[in-house]
Formats: sequence, C-alpha cells, structure tokens
Amino acid sequence: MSRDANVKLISPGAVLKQIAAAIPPDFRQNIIIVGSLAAGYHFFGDDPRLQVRTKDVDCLISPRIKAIPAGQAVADRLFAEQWQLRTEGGWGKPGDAQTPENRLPVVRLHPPGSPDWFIELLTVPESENDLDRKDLRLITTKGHFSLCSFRFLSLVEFEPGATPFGIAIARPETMALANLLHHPVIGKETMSGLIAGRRIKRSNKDLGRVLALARLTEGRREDSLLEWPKIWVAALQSRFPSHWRELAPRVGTGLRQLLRPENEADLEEARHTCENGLLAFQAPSLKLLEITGQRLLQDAIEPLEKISTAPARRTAAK
Amino acid sequence: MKEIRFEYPIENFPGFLADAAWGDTIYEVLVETKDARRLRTALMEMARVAASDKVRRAVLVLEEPAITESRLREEWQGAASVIRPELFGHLAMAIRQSGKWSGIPVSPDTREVPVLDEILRHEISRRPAPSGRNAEAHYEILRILIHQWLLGRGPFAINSLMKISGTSHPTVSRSLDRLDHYLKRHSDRSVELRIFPREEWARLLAVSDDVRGTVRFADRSGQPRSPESLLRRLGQLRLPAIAVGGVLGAKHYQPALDLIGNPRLDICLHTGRKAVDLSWVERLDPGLERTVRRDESPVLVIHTLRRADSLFQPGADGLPWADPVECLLDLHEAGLESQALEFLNSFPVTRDSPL
Repeated sequence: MSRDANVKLISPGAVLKQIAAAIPPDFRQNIIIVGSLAAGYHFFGDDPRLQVRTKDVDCLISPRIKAIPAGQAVADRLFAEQWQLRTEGGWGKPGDAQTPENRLPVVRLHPPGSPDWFIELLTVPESENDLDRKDLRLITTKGHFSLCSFRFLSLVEFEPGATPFGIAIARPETMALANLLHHPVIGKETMSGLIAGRRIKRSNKDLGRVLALARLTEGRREDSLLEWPKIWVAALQSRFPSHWRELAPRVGTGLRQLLRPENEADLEEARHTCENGLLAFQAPSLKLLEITGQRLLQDAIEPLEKISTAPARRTAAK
Repeated sequence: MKEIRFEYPIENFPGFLADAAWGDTIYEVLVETKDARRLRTALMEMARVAASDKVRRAVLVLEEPAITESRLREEWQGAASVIRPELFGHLAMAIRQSGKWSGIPVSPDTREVPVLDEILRHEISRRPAPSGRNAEAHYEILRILIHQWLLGRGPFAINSLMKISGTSHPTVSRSLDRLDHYLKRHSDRSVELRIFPREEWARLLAVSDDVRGTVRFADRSGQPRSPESLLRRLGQLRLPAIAVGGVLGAKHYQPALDLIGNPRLDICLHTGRKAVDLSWVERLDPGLERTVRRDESPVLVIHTLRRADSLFQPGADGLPWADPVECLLDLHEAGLESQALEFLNSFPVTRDSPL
C-alpha cells in the first residue's frame, strides 16, 4: 500500500505532552486539541502500538473572549521555544499591519527539529450567526497572523475531555457532529495535499473521519452510538440556541448521500482516508464502512432528527 | 469401544443385511411394532442367521413396542419351542420402553446400552419423515401435544387441537393416527401424550429447518452486536407476532439451566399463513446478512410459526417468550444437546423420570 511519505505515524500521548509543555501554564486551560490527534488520544491513549497518521494538529483556543491574549501568549512562547513556521503552501510569511485580515496566514508551527507534524491555531466563532470563516488579527512578536474560526468549530468546544497534560481534547461526538454539519452535501473541493498518493474530496475525508469515529466508538463499547444524540442535542442547544432545530435535519444529509450506491467512488475515498488515518490498524472494507454509516444513521442521526421535531418543552437539554 | 457397523452383511446369507453389528453380535430393529406376526418372523430370521459361525449373539431390538411385556414373553416361549436350542441360545431381545431398557431373557448390560441407543438413533434418523404441507401440519400438531404434555395440562379436545394448529379435522386425525403409539385417548375424544415421542421428535429435528422456515443471519460488520443488544433493539421496534426463544427463552422457563453465555438470539415469528416479512432485520442491525453456510456462526436465527395460535407467553418489555417446545428445538438447532436434554428434564412431567 502506498503511503504519503510526508505523513508519519505519531504517538498521540507524546505529542499532546510536547504541545502542553510548550504552552504557558496559564493558557493550557484555553487549548482544546481537535481532529485525528484528539481522536487518537481518546481511543488509543498512551498505547505505543497504536499511533496516528497525521501531520496537522489543530489547537482550538477557547473561549473566544480569551482568543487574542491566549493566542498571542501561546504563539510568542512557541516562537521563543524555537518552533518553526511551516513554509509549505506559500503561507509561511507573517503579515503586517497593512495585510488585510483575510490575507493573513494562520499560525502553523513545527516543533523544533521535528518536521513530521505541525500545530495550527484556531478559535471558535463569536456567535451562532457567524456563518463562514472569520479571521481575527493576531499580532505576535513575529508579525501578524490570522486566528480563524469556522461556523461549526463552536461545537467541538462543547464539554471537551480532560488530559493529564492540562490541555483538553475535543469529544468524538462533537467532532463528528461538526464534520457532518460542515458537509451537508458531497462538495467538489479537494484537499490541497495528497492523502497517501490520492487526491481526495474534502467532504469525503471529513465524512470518512465521522465513520472512523463511529466505528471506534462502537468498537470500544457496544451501543455507545445510542448516547450520541443526547450529547448532540446538548451541544447544538448550547452553541446554536436559535438555530439548532434547523441545523438538526441537516446533520445526516451528507452522510446519506455518501452511502448511496451511485456514490461508491466517494465512499471509496472516505475508506482510503480511514485506512490511512484513524483506522490504519483495522483497515476497513467498503461494506464495513457502509454498515458503520447505516448504524450511525439509525442510532444517532435519526433519533436526533426525531428530537428536533418534538414539541419544544420536551427537548430541553437535561 | 468396538465400532458399530450398520447394514452389515453376513457371510453365507446372501441378501441378508443386519441392521447393525457390534463385534460378533448382530442387531435387528423393530420400531413401534404392534404386530406379533412380525415379531415371530424376525425371531425366526435371527435364529437362521445365528447359525453362522461369525455370529455369537443375535439381538432383536424393540423400540416402544405396542405389545405388552407378558405378550412378548409368550412370544419368546413360543419361539423357544420351535427353534433348535443350540440356535435359540444365541438369541436375545432388548426392549426400550419410555426410554428405559429391559430384555428377554436378561436386560442388556451397561456396556451394551450406549450401543443400543446409538443403533436406535441411527435407525430412526434414516426413516422417512412426512413431507411438504403435511409434514408442517403434522409437526405443528406434534409440538402442540408436547407443549401440553410438558406443562402438565392434561388431555386436549380434538377441536382445541384443530383451533390451535389451524388445521382441519382430517389433518388432525391423520396426525393423531401417526402418533397413536404415544397417545392416551379418552372416552370424551380428548387426547394426550403418555410418553415423550422420541422417534417423532428425532424426525422433527432432522427436518426442523424446513418445517420451521429457519433463517440465519451472520454479522458482516466485524463488530457483532450481542444477543442482548439485539434483544433490546428488537423490543424498541415494537413488532407484532414476535417472541424470544433459544437460550434466553429456555432460561426464562428454567432459570437454573446450565447455560453460560448466549451465542445468538433465536426469534420465533408467528406468521400463520401470511408471507414472511424479514425486512425489519435491517432496522434491527444493518450489519446482519442472511447466511446459508452452516460453518458460520449466526448472530440471529429466525424461526417461523405457521399454526393459528402462537402459544407465546407474555414477557417483560412487551416482548413475549416463545413456548418451551420452540426453545427446546432452538437448543438442539444450536447444537446445545446436553442443555436441551437438561431443559427437557427440568419440567415436572420429566423430572421424576428423566429422558
């Protein structure tokens, strides 16, 4: 099997520890790790045999009100610790006061002497009405950067899991929910880089991640997907109090599209990303992913849809 | 233990095949015989073959004979008077009545009893069973009678049997004739089993997949759901006419049963004469796929009940229990033979006289 030579296996526990150690202690509580590293730590913990194939580690700075001071403190500390700006993709040069916010680069930093992975600083949207990407100017000792937010990143901020390192990891349930909402249809946009030698649609990669999270969740404890709707409702009501009822019916549309027989090529892309990502140690077949998707629909998405259409007083989060 | 050989030819007796041979003993089997003439003929034939220097003993095996023991002894004495003593000395009769062995002139010894059991098992399994709709109706009636007997509910009016089985009077009559040997008939035309109908049961086991329309589902997810999970989910589907059998059902009736673990979920689907709809299985678990491979362990096994009355017992959480006879069949079908026997012997009717 061909692998992307640029993507190395990394140990979730070791990387989390390294990141936490580099962050000023006062701001560790403001960091939530998102994505495959968070999932890898959640499911594999410190098991050295189970590593994660990823090169980007998303660090969400939360809450929004602390985003600028925390972002500045974290970035400056990392610069001081000789973390290096990632130069690939033409975004390695910081901006200045004249650079428009939407042209500012995101903070992407390699740890000293380790080009295998990098962290990326993000934050949560200001309100539930922030529909698209928003860039917040972050002024550091090295120049101006963007601390960007995406609409559904606020969901992964909901009740994250603690780690012994003082930084938090996003929950699999909320990461899955954010990805599902982010892709109500299979879009045409592809990932900027190759995944194990293949050009993959972003929606297939993210929906594939959802399937991997669901599979790992079920593998850890039978019937645990049945608990997802309750967490989803609570997260949606908390982060989208005015819009959650209109969002809930959109949670399953992209996944349903992915599972249609005529979209097998898309499911195959999702399978490819799973095989080269979170499910590298239990490479799934198409059939297996399809079953996982159907189970997720039945256990979590359909109950969520039902809850969202129920009379208001019965749906308040407990 | 010496090997049992079946349909065994005897040198110098062309055309003769003993039903079985074990060492230098040969066996002929008569099942449910009520015909004394047939008994006499069999004894004469055995005496003829006993003349062979390859045969030391010739045993006539009687399974549930419908001839009284005193009549059997009379026939034995009659044979003694016409067969040369040097040949008659090689003959014996072994009789299994209500599962217990006796013999003439002496009972079989403990070494020979398992051999005799095996010979009868073999003989019964090769007998033809009824087929098609007749078989289905017959085995429904058989199961209803066993159900009544196991639960100690006494005699059954033929009308009730017709109503529960959903079959006509001629069908019930035909079936009762076939089961006559096992029945006690009362003057009010009600009937009940007097003993467990071993032979008919063995035949039913041989064809139970067809009779019960058994369908098996295996896991294709690589992360199979447990029977307990499937059961909880089944309860939530709120399907009509479905009951739980198998290990869970057997444990419901006999909680002390020695059944650790539960490898699969057995479900009874009461369809009557309607077409079987299994579309709900996908709602139960999209990871299930129908399998016909017997070397694959199923996670879910569904059996169809065609009779008019399901005989389901009310259960907790809205899911009824399949009747104990269906549970017993499920245990056999799952290969849990010793547990099936333990289950069968745990009812009041069998407790004092285990099968």
